[in-house]
Amino acid sequence: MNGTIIVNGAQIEIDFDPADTLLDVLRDNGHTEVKRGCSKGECGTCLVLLDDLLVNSCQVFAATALGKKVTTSSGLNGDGRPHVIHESFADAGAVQCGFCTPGMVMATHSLLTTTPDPTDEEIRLGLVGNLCRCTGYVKIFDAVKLACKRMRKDG
Amino acid sequence: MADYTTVGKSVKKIDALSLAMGTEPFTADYPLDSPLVLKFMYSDLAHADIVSLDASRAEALDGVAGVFHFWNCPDTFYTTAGQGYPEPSAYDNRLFDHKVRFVGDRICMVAAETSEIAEEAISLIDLEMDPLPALFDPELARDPDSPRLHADGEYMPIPVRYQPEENVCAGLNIPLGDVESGMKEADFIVEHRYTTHQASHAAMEPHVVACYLDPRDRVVLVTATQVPFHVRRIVGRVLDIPIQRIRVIKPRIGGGFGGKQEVLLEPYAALATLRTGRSTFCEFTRSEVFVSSRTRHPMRVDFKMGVKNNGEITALVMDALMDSGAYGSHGLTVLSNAGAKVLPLFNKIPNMLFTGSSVYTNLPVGGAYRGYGATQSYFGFNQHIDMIARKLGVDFLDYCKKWHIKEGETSDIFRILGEGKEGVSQVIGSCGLGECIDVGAAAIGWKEKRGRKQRGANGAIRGVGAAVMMQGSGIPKIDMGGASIKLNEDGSFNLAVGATDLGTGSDTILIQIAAEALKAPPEKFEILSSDTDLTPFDVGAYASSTTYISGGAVKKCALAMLDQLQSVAAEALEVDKETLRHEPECFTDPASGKSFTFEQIGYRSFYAVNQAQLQANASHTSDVSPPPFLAQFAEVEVDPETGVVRVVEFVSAVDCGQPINPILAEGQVEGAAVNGISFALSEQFVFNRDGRVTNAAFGRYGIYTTADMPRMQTFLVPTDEENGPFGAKSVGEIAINGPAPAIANAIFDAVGIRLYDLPMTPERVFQALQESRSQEEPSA
Amino acid sequence: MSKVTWVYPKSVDELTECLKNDTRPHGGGTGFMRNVPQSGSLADLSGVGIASVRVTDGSVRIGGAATFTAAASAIAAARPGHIVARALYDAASPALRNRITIGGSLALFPPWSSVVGPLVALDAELTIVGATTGTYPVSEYIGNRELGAETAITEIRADASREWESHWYRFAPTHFNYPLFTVVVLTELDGTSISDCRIVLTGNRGRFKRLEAVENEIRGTSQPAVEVTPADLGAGFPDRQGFSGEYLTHLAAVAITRGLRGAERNAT
Repeated sequence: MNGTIIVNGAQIEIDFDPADTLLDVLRDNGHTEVKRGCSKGECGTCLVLLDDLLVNSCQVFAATALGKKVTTSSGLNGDGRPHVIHESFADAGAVQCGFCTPGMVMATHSLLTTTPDPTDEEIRLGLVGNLCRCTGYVKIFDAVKLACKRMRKDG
Repeated sequence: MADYTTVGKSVKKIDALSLAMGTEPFTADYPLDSPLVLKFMYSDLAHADIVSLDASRAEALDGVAGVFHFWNCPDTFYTTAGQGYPEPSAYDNRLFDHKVRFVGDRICMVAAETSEIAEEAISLIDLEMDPLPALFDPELARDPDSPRLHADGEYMPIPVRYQPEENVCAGLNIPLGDVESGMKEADFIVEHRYTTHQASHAAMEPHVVACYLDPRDRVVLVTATQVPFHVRRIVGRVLDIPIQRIRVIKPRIGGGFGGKQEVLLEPYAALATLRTGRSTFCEFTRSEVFVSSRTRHPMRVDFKMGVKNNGEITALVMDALMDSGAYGSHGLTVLSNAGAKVLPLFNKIPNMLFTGSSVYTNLPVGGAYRGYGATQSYFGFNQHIDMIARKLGVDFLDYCKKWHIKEGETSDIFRILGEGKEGVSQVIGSCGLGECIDVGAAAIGWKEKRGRKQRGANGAIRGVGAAVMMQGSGIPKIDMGGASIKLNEDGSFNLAVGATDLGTGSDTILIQIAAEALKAPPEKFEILSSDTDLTPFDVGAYASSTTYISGGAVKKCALAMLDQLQSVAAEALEVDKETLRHEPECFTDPASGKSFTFEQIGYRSFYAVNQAQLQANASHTSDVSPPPFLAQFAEVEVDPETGVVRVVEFVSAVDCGQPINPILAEGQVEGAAVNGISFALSEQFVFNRDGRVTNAAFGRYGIYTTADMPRMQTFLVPTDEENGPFGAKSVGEIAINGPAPAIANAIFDAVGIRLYDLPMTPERVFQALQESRSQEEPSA
Repeated sequence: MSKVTWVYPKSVDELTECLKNDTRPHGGGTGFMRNVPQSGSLADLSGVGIASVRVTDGSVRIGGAATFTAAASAIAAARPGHIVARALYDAASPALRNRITIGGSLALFPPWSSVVGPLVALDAELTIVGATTGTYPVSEYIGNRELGAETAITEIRADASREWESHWYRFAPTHFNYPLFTVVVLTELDGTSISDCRIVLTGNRGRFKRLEAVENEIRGTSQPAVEVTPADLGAGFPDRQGFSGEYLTHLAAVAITRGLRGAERNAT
C-alpha cells in the first residue's frame, strides 16, 4: 500500500504492507527515536501523538494513519531542539538507559496538555502505560513535576 | 569527608538529553545495508531428541538465505554466561543441539530477507522429535529415576565439581568451625525453608544484535551487551575465528540487569554473516526475552541457626538448592554468592556450614541477575533474623546493629568462599550500616509503627519490617578494567574505557572521576566506551564492578596523565616539577605566581617543543571487594479478607562509600528497590504442566507500573572507602535484595504470618492467613 | 505477508455493504493487532460517523467507534462518577484508551474488558448492522457469537435515568496487567436498606454473569448484613495467571460483598 503521513511537520511518502503498524513505518523511515519494546501496547516505548492524541504506534495500523499528523519525541518542540519536558527529565535524573524515555516524554506531554497541574495520583495514572525498569519511577515523577512547574512559568 | 569539586555532585548524565529526545542510537537503530533477519525455531517440548530435521522446504522458499542447525553448524561446547576466562560455568551449550531441554530451547535458525519470510520458513521445517521424560522439580534432579539432561561430553572448564550424570552442574561444601558443637551450645534453634522464584530482567530494550563485515571482511558486531570483550572472545572460540578478526561495538543499551551479560545472540549473527556474506540483524520479541533469554535462578534455601539467650548465634547451617534450568550458566557462582555475600554480614558466628547444589531441570535457563544469589538468600536470612530477634524479645534493628560486621573486622567467609574458587581475605574498611539503620528507621517511623497494627480501609492492617544487607564491589583479584586518556590542544581530554554503560550512567561517573583527579570540569572530557577496537579491555558491567574497578582504572590513568601534564608544565615554566601546584586546569609555580594551563600544555606538546601526544593508560584490579551496606524498610497494608498486600512506603538507606554522582546513585537504589518489590509481590513465571510459560508478556507478568508505586525515600549515607576511587564503593545491585524480606517481615508485623515462598501473591498471603486462622480455631 | 485489504466506508450504508464481502470492522483498537486477518478486508470505521457520544438525562448513547477516552470524558462531564466512565478510565492506559473502542471491546470481549460489566448491569442495548441487523440487549449480543459475525456495532444505549450507587472492581496483579476479572455492583438504597441492586461478574467461567438470584435475595436486606459467599457465584472462575479459580471466586465474592455494603474503597 502507499500513502502519506506527516511526521513532525514533514510529509513523507510511505510504502507499506497492509498489516504494518505505524511503528513499523516510522522506524523504516528513519524515525528510530520511536522505540520497540514489546510490539503489544504493553510497554509504552513507542508512544507518539497521532493527530495530537497519544497512541501506542505499535497498536495503530499504518493503513489507518494515512494523511494524519504524527509527532514523535524528537519533534515535540517543533524545531528539532529539546522540549522543556526533555530537559526536565535530564535535569531530574529521570533518564537511565533512556529506552523508555521518549515514550515517557510523550505520555508526560499528553498528561500536561489535558491536566496542566496534575496531582500525584494523576501523574501515576497518566504514566501507567509506560514501563521503566531502571529508575523505579521516582525521578520520573520528579521530572513530570519539574516540567509542570517550568511549563507553567513559560506559559 | 574530603572536599571534592566534581565527585559527589549530581552532574547531569552526559547522554540524558539525547536519550530523552530519542536521538542516541541503540543497536536496533543502526543503519544496516539490507540485513538478513534472523529468527529462531523453538521447541514446544520440554525434553526431546531431534530425530530428524529436514530444512529443504524452508531453504527452497524465496527470500531464505540459510537455515542453521546442529547438522550444519559448529558443535563446540561453550557457556553463554559471558564471564572471564576460563569461565566458572559449565560448557554445556552448543549453538544448536540434537536435543532440546526446555520449552523455548533453540532448534534451528533461519536467515531471510524479512521476518515474515523467516517465520514462514520456520513453519516449513520438517521435524521429527522423540519426546523424553521431563524434569521440572529440582528436588528430584539427583533421583536416579529422573531423566538426565546433559550426557554428551559437556564439561566444566575449571577444576570444580561437575556431575551431569546426577544433573548437578555445580556443588559447594563450605565448612567453618564445628556446627554440631555450635548447635549444642545454643539455647534454641530456628530452622526454616525459604524459596525464591524465577524472574525476568525485563529490560525495556529486548536482546538485539546487528552484524556486518567491514571492507576487510572482519566481523563487526553491534550488540546490546554488558560484556563486549567477553563477547569477542566467546564468539571467536565458538566459531573458531581469531579474536583479531572480530570487533564488538556497544552502542547505548536499554538496560541489562545481568540479562545482557549472557552471550546469547552474537555467535549466531556472526555465523550467519560469515556464511552468507550479508549483514544480519536479530532482535528478540518480548516473549522470546521472557522464555528464551535468562531468568533469575530459583533457589530453595534452608537456614538453621543455633542461638543463645544472649543473642549470640553459635552455629549456622545453610543448604541451598538452585534450579539452573536447562543449562548451567552462572550455576556455580550465583550459588556461591548466595553464601559469600550474605554469611559475612553477621561475622561473629563461629561455626558455619554452607552446602549447596545447582541442578539442571527442563525449565527456562537461569543466569546473572542483579543481586546474583544474594537476593535469593537474603529473603530467608532476614526473616530468620527477624524470628530470632522476636524470640529473644529484642528489636530487629537493635539486634542487627549489635551483630553485623563493623569497620576493622573480618569474616572467615571472605577467605574461604569466592566465585567458583577460594575467596580473598579482607578487613572491612568502611561500614555505615549502623547509621543506615538509624536514618531509615527514623524515616519510616519505625518506633511509632512497629507492632502497632494500625488499621486502614476495609479492615486492612499495617505493619513495618526491615532488612539489612551487603554486596561486594567487583570480584577481587579477577575483575580488571582498563582506561586511557589523551590530551587535546584545547586542554580537553578523550577518555577511553572498556567499561560498559548499560544505562546506569557509568560513562558520566567515569568522567567525573577523571575530572576530579585532573581538576578539570567534566565538560572537558569526551568519553568513548566499549569498542573492542578502540578502547582498552574491561571485563564488563557485572558484579557491581564498574564504579569501583573501572573507576579505579580511570583514577589511576588520570593521575598518570597528570604526571605527564606536570612534566610539560615544569619544562615550560622552567621550574622543578615537584614545586608546581595543581590548580583547576593548570599548574602554578608558587614562587613566581606563573601558571601554565592545560591548553598551553596541549599546544606546546602538539606543536612547539618536544612534540608528543600526551596519553596515559592504566589498568586496575583490586585485592579486596569492599561491600556496600544497606538497610531497607517497608510499611505494608495487608487486607486480611483478600490477602492483598499494598506497600505503603519504602525506605532505603545505603552506604555506597562516597557517591560519585548522588542522583545517579539514588537512581540505582530506587530502580533496584522497585524491581525487588514487584519481584516480591507480583512478578512470576506461570508454567503449565508441559513446562511452558503461559504469561510471557508484560501485560501478564507483573512488573510494577507507576500506579503501583509506594511512597519511596532513599538516603545515601556516605562513608570513605580507602580502596575505592575517591572513597566510592558499588551501588548497582545491592538494593534489589531487601524488598522481599523487608515486606515479608512487615507482613508478619501486621498480621502475624510468615511467607516463606516468593512471590507473596495475594493468594499465598490469603492461604497463610487461612492456615493460621484454622490453627488458632481448630474447631471452626 | 498478510493479503488483507483495507476499505474506508464513509457511511453506515457503505459499511453495511462492505460487511457482506468478508470484511471485518476495525475501530482502531488492539483486537486485530495480534491476529491480522490473512485474507478479506478490514474496514476502517473512522469515516463512518459512528463515534459520537451523547449523554441526556435519560440515556447514554455511545457510537460503536467511540474510543474509551471519548466515551469516558463525555459521560464523566455529564454524569460525574458514572459507572461506565469510571470503568473506562480504569482500563489499560491513556494511550490505549485513545484507540480502543466501545464497539470493539464488546465485539471481541476479552476477559478483562472494562465495558461489558457496566453495560450489562445497566441493561444496555446495542444496534448492529450487517448480517443480523437489529437492536439487542448487550447481554444477548455477547452471549451469542453469531450476532458478532459479519456485523458491526453502530451504537450502544444505556439507561441513565436511575441514580445508582455504583461499585467497580477489577483484579489485576499490577495496575497495567490484564485484569483477571471485573465486578460491577449497582445499589439503590432506602436508608441503609438495599431496595434494588444489580451484580455482574466478568472473566468467570461462561465469560460473564449477572447474579440475578443473589440480587433477588438481597433486595430489602440492610447493607451491613449482606454477605455474598463464593457459592453464590455459581460456576466461579477458572485458574488464571497463577491464581486458582477457588481464590478468584473468593476474591470476587469479597468484592461483591464490599460493593453491596457500600465500602468506600474496594480491595485494590
